[in-house]
Amino acid sequence: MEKTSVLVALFAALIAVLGLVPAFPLASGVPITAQSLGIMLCGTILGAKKGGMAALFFVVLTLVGLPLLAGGRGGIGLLAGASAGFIIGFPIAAYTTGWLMEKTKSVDIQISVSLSSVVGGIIILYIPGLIGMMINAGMSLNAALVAVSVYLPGDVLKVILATIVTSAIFKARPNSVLARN
Amino acid sequence: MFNNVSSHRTKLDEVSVEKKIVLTCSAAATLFFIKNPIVMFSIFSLLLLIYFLVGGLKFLRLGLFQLKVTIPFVIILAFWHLYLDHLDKGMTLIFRLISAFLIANLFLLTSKIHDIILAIQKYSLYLKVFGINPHAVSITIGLFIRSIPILNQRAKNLMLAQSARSTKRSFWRISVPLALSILDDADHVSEALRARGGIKKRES
Repeated sequence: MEKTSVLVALFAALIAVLGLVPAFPLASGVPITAQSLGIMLCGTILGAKKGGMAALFFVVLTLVGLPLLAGGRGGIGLLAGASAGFIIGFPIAAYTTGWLMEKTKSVDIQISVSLSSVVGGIIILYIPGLIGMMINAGMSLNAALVAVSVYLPGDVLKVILATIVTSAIFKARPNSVLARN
Repeated sequence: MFNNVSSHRTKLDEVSVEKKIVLTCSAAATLFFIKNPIVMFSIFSLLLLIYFLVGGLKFLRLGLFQLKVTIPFVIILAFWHLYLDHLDKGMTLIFRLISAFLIANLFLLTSKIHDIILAIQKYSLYLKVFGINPHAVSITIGLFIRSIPILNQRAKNLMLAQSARSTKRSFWRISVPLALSILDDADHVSEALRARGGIKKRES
């Protein structure tokens, strides 16, 4: 119980701290940030339930008003912005990443992490993200897809980073990667 | 870090946080049903009037200054809809975005973060229905807010240590030690919590 609370709090704080790494605002109104790396790590290290909770915790407190998103943004007004879908998608993405990690326990850790973070952190995160851009920025699906493609190289880098971090932790302390326990 | 509250006290400061949250959310939700640019613009003007009535010209200026985060979004939306020739739709979206931020900021500028957290904790009691322990939620909120500056400082320290050993500053090299240190912290803090009585299983 205590351990779960602490892990959820610390990983939610990790997502917030990654938002302090300088973000690059892009033309589509959704910045490139390191925060989605935090989302992937929540899933790959903590697993589905705890990882999803950490991301949900972060999202709820951001929407309530803490200026925790990259660039010091926060508040319910975010739901009218172009990144609304991505923000709502964070917990879903973290949960899916963790769920896939748990399902691929028998596979090599690097393959398992990259697969889970590609599916959870990119594909699943982009679905609500695209819907949000279509509703809030009035884009067509094609335009939104083109706008989102700019983020792909950054996201691939984040997947690689998530893989390096998670497998290094797994090598050093296998018990700490809860998604594999 | 959380210095959202304006030093300027207004009439809305006295209204309870709960009421303000309900009002803010319902007002923000209503915005999504409005499709007419003229109606949207009237709402925007009405909001500016509310700012003025609540705290005078100084507060209105503060509210407008807070809108600076929306500038890039507004520019993009404007160009995009000019290009598509959907001026009506563009205007609606732009004023919806600005109005939503005005509503949210009105709440944030007139409520202390401390009060907001207290309200969340108070209402987290109802999470019991879903099998969530409200005491755990309170502890997690406190820990979360406390750990942000700690983790930020640690990331900076690791960066310094890294740049002392290399000519390049690279974020990815500190990510493994940072993640490991967080897991260490989790062990220490959860043991410390347990040693001090731990999280209450049931609200007494």
